[in-house]
Amino acid sequence: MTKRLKNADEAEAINAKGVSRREFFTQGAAAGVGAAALMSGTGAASAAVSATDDIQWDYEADVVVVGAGCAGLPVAIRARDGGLTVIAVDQNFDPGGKMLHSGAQVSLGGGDPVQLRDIAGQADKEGFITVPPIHKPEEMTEDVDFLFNDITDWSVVDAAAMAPYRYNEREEHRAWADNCYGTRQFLIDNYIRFGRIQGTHPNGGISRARRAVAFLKLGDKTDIKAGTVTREDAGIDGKSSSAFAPRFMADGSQIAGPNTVTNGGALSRGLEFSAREKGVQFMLNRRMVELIREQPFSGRVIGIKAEYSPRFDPDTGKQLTSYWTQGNMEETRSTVYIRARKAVMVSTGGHSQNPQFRSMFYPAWRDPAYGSSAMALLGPHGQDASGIIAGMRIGATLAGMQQNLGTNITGHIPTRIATFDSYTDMLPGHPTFSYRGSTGITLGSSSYEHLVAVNQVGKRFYNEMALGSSYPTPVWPGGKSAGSPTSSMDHVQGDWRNCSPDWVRQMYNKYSHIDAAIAMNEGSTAPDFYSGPLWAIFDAGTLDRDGWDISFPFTSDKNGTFFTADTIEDLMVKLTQYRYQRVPAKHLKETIDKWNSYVDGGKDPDFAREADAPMHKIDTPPFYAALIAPIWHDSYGGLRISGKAEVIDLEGNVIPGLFAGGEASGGGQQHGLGRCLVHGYIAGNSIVQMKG
Amino acid sequence: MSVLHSPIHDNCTCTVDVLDGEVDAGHGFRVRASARCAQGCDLSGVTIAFHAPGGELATAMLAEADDDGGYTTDEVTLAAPASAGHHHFTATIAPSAEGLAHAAPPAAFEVAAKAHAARLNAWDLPSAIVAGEAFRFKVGVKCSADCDLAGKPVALFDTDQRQVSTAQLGNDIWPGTTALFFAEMAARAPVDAGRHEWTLAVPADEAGLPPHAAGTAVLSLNVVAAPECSVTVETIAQDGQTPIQGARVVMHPYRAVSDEHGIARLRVARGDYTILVSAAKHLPIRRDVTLTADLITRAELEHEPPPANPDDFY
Repeated sequence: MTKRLKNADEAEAINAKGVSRREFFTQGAAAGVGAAALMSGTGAASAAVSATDDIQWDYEADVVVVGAGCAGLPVAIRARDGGLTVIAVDQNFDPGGKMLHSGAQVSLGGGDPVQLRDIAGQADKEGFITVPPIHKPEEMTEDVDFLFNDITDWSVVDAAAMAPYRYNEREEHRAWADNCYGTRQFLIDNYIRFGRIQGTHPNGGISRARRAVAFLKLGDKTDIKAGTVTREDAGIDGKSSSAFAPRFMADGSQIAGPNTVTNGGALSRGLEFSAREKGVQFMLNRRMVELIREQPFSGRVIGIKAEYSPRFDPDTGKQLTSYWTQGNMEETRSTVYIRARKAVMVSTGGHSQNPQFRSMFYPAWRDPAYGSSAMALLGPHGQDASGIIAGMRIGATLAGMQQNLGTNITGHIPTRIATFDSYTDMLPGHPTFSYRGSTGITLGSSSYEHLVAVNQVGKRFYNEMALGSSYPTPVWPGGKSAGSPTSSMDHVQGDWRNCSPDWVRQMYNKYSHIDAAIAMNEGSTAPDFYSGPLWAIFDAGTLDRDGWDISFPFTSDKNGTFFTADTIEDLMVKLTQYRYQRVPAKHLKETIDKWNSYVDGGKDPDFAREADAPMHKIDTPPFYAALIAPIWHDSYGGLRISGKAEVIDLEGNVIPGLFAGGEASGGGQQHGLGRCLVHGYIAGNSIVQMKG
Repeated sequence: MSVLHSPIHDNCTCTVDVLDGEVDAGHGFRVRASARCAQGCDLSGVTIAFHAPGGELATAMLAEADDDGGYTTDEVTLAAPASAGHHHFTATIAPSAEGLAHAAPPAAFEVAAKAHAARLNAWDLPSAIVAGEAFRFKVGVKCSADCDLAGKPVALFDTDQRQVSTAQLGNDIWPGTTALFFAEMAARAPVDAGRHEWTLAVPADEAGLPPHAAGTAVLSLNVVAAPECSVTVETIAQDGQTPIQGARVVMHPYRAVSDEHGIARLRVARGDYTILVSAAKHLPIRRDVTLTADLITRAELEHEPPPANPDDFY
């Protein structure tokens, strides 16, 4: 039969020259024509072998990258740099993954090019950076061995007495440290502008300053090559996000200079632009559901099976489309098979939005009432462990699973209420805003004075003043608040004193509010014993005292996360409208009455809140309920990888043709971008260097 | 060859599920009807009629067959009678457009209607009331079915159930609410210092249509002895050394709010206190004092940085 094969080699012929967004769109349309022409070509037949003989491959490329985010885009670019053809598959409608809404905080180190630039007191070549280095040269001076020791330092414990570096995979981290220099330079070479080194990103090591943030300069047009973004695309503070950047891009004047802005838009869009320019082909709206290996548990990985996963605006029904279209492959069939001649890269992200998976580490998190960061941006298939599970099904082993419990940002309670997507502050303007419906009310820690927090049955569960608390991670500049007995410059790697019991007793400061929040309650029933949603209850007096803005877009009366009522009894009824409010909040009236009596008495016998701040009655109508949404932000633990980012099987052997990185991989406790970007860089190099 | 149908299909069934429990008299309640033809007719699009003793209440069409071959309507909201008690209804299958009748016993169902509940709430009550002195506060009453309560009486009873004050709910509803009628009440505090729990009450109107049940709420009074000392707290922003307006100063049970000069004044009895001071966008502070004379003190509050967006750090 005729093979419906489309060859990504044709991408060689599509090499964008666009500089502005408008030009890029124009060229994108042209590229779409090119892709369509390929549809009719028969091309070369695929050579499926062994148990995969029956597979009719629909597409073929040297490298299939699954997940076009923080780890995936570097692989794709690196592979194209090496002359390989690449199809990047992503379940979402737009590339970038969670990197797109990140803070673009990239901690590398070991004497990376930005450290060296700042040590020398230099600016960037474009002259955007007009502020002097933030750190003294000695605070950034290190070599790769020093970095490796820092990120595998067994002696460091954090303020929750967790050990963020002790369990890191050695081979993986040696390779990571070895490749920080190359990765930073690679990023700079692919349109990423970094500001001054400023401190260190969580779990990026304690002894030196290593973090640089990607930025763009405000300009008349959004132009990645020129390094500029318009005010509109960067977002208007408190008013709007944009299709370019789902979150308002923050002021970069401290790390770069006036009229600069930072966040994941500067990082993700830069890499995406470069990938498209270099001929990476993107098959968006396509979720990988299976890795295909020659034999179920042996042989090479030769491709993937992927299903169509379009997203539609819940308000208008209109399909969401990518910001840029250059290099997009239009494909709407339900299922396609994509053959990888050399390698498949699993860069699908983690498992934070898979309640079954994450509950392996903390059973209470099996409740789907608790979400993942970037839910609106990534949609229902984001961070769903699909890559990890697909790897497990063909024999891959896992690593670092226990590290999910080793950092403060994994399962936590963000301080943003009245939205399900509580981790981020997305404003209207990004196409996925409709999925969340509200930005949420962002609280400072002092604002908790004005609310009572209750669980699904309407009972308080912890001292509300602690809900805004979190313990810090051991990073620059160190010291007691970070869990280290000395400042970072004085930190002695591997010194037993860093974690002596006396010291741990002194600096331990973890609050257990998240554990209390998701504990079983009388509304929890077998078999899952879901804990259910949490609510902030407050009144008109709160708004008067603390100035909360409950107007749209901060709240919405349509998404079930914010209710207004004349009485507490009415509020109880309204809460049942929320999809995860499975039982009535039957104790709410009694709880508020009791709270008001505590205020009258000047004491909170339940949680001793009177010691922390004034207590206020909740008695002035109207009354409000805003969702408090626990979030599993990032995830740790995933496919075990080698120093070359190869996936390892249960016997400790490499699975040929399969690579992984970022949150789909395990064995590393470093948070976020630094880990993922280097993994992608390593994987890209490894694939290019593969023989055959 | 055509199949001739009898104009009447006997032994059909019709049932109704009442989806709500007890409802407010005169208020809506939800039902869903199901039907099945003994001869297996497709009943989708066939009408179900809901009847009260006085006549037809509503109709609804049966939807497509479910997995079990039954046909069900969407949820239908019917109005309960305005009186309290158990009310009985029936539902029947209406003849199809082709004149085919599905004979089924009328499906009987009932709903329990109750008197509307009165929900009371009091606010703006002074946190400390000097023994024997007059005080004022607001009381709001909301009907569970959002009825107009303008002119309804509210009474205040002391610990011994003696009526000490009355008021009538006004014609307006409280700003921001949909049906909370309110009044301002005045009363005189007991002469004994300490906590006193009085009772606010609205009487029942059982004979009304719809009927309304009585409602009560506790009014908790902190009655204090005559103040002996004055406390002046100057609230200052630590960074700019500027006065903070609207700062809360609490010396339980006394409370005050700072003015435009950052000054909060309290009149309190002698004794041991914890002074708690807080203000929007500032971190709260506390100080323990033993008060034997007038006190003038200064509270410097540290500015709380704008809430950090975790994505800017992680």
